[in-house]
Amino acid sequence: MVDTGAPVFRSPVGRTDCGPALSVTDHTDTAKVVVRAAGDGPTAQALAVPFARERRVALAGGPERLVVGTRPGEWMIISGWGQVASIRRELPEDPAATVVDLTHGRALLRVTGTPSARLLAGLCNVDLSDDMTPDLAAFSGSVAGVMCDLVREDVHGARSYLICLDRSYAGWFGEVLVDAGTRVRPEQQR
Amino acid sequence: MVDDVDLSADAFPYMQVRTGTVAGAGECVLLRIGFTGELSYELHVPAGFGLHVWETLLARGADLGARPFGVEAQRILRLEKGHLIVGQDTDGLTRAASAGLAGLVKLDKADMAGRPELAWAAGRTDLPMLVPILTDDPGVVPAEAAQIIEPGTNTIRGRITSSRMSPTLRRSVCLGQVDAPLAHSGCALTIRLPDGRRVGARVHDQHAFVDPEGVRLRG
Repeated sequence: MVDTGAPVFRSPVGRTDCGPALSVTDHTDTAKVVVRAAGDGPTAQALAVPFARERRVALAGGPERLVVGTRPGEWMIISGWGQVASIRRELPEDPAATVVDLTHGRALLRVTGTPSARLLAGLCNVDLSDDMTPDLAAFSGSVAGVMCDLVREDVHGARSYLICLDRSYAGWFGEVLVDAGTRVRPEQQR
Repeated sequence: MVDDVDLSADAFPYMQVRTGTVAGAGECVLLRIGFTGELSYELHVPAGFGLHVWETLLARGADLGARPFGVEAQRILRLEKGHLIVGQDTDGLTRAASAGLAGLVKLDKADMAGRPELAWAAGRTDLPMLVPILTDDPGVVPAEAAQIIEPGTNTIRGRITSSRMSPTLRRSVCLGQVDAPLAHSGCALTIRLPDGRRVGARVHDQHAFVDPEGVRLRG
């Protein structure tokens, strides 16, 4: 047996500090599993999350996992590190379903704070008003020129967004996000 | 660093692929290939573990002299081995046979995508051929894209596609595309250099200038 120790996961995201009123956190090491299946099949019934919404779901008696309706007939399941095998086991038998582990292929960032919508509004053309994208809304768009899947999931009443994007862009994207965050004026941060 | 794949030459021979754990990172893909002509493995690892595997490789291989090398070294090594670069040594009109790869096309299969075109190309004898070339003066390295001229004439019959000074052979080595009648081993060529000088060269007898038997490649 070769002793090489546990492999060390490295995120491409660097600095995340952008002031007291905005928090950028890196969650790239979470398990990210994409499921594609018929909209009326057993997988869709088990996930029970419609397109453009997110919900915490306990699949087959397992722990709660974040399930995002990213496209019609497509979901992303987000959970803790090393949970991919468990997620696969919890999904129902469905020969028409495709399950792909994107843990290493995508990065995940969270932006939290009252001015987070203002921050993102400067980087994308998505309408981030409460009417169009309320809490638990899932949507996609170009943020700073990078195609992203976004989820609004407020934390303890504070506005918060999860941003999932291709890992290759994540280092640069994180820099842009933090740079834009540090430019939000104090009065805007309140 | 790998304990779940038998790396012996018999169990994991040249041009084979395996999946396994490298430096503790699971679900890695190991390809036993050798663009540089050396015994080598290409490792595909989950992206988040890429740096970990890289650092572990260099640390564990330090006592063996393992160290990174750049693309220029790779390009020299592959040219010494006669391995072509698609898009540099080939172009839009290159066929497998004209690149010296006819042996990779299995026309004895009943059918496959592109079979009619491959069969048609296999019967052609008039296509430009990719050939190994050695200049008469070993110190001359013709520039890539230098014209190849039929000796004693001003007729362009091809071009140099790759050229480098080989540190192993201590002489220049080249690949070039030439018209079919000039593509036979030993054929004399003239190469026109960018400064207008003309130098003599000959078609070498095999693409690999170094280790033509593949002993190093196969371990």
